Amino acid sequence: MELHNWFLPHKETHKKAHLISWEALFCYVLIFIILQVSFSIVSFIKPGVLGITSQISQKNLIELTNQERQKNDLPTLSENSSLSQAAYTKAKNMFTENYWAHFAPSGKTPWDFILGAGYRFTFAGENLAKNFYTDDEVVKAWMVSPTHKGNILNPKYQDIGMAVVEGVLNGQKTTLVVQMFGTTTALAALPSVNINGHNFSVKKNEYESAPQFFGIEQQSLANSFARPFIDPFQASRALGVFVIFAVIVLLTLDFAVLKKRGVFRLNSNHLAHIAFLTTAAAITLTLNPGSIL
Amino acid sequence: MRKKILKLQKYSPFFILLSSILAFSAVLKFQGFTFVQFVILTILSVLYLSFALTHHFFDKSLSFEIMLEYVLTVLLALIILYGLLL
Repeated sequence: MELHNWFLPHKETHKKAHLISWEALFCYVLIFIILQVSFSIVSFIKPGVLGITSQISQKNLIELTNQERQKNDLPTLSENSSLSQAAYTKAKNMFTENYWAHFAPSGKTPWDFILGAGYRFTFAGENLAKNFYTDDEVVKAWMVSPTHKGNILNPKYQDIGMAVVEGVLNGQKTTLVVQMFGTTTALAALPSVNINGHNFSVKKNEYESAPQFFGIEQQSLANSFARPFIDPFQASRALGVFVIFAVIVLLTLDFAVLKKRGVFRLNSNHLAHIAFLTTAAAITLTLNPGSIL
Repeated sequence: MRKKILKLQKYSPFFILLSSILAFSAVLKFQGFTFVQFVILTILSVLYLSFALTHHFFDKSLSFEIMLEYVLTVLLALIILYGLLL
């Protein structure tokens, strides 16, 4: 088997290069399936080996949030240590109970954490984010979502609490961001919490008998979590972009060589493949692993 | 009807290009919304396959191998992208 047949159309038969034949495409698909399965197995066997290292600072997030409020002629929020403690306790609880939601599987509510930290709110709210690389990306994603933006730009809030906590979630090292808002000024008959655009009224008995999370360690600004060995997102992205670009280059070569030889071959449309794969490559390059809730 | 489809299928590459640009912009806009991005990519893939296969069908050049090439190209892109989103 000659080497150039792997990269260029065959000289005699004008058959496609081996590396862009349907058999090769099938192999690439298999490689990526095996890669994803391997990541799941490693996450299960060795939790924390895979994961993402973020460069997110609590202070910057508060600053960026306040900048967004200022742009909309709203007063800035002051950092409240009880709300920050509530946010930290909430993030720690998500790692302990292994969930990614506003409400814990054990039944804990966002207001349990807020009241548990000693913040007696009349109106409060919560925004969550995970696995973003930078502060900017987190706030941008929140501002695109109408419900999260609604929390950031809510004129009722006076205080803000923020926690950026690293831990292992679903076997992978994860950075969780919990943003809590609140006010203690009397607003309504019943205290309420804004979550994803829905207002949840807190019943009087829940408000009075909120659990105290004394058992949980105090918030520490020092991030002592070890760096993960492999970032599965970056590894998949690098391999994905490499394979897509290689296929695009080989398809372009195939198209150009056939044209030069003046040969017509019945095959799928090269230009359509190139357009679709270029879009896939562009999306691959611009995606980030972060998600908000 | 057939004449209309034949007329439309000439514009397949234009539709593919347009839907690709729209999908790219939408994915950028919805950073952080994994489910929305997931849906956008699935719609783009279905559109791409439909345009491509319709084009070859009316061009009388649709064979099993050609269909396989399109399906595998879509699968490759989707597996890479879904792997990044999940």
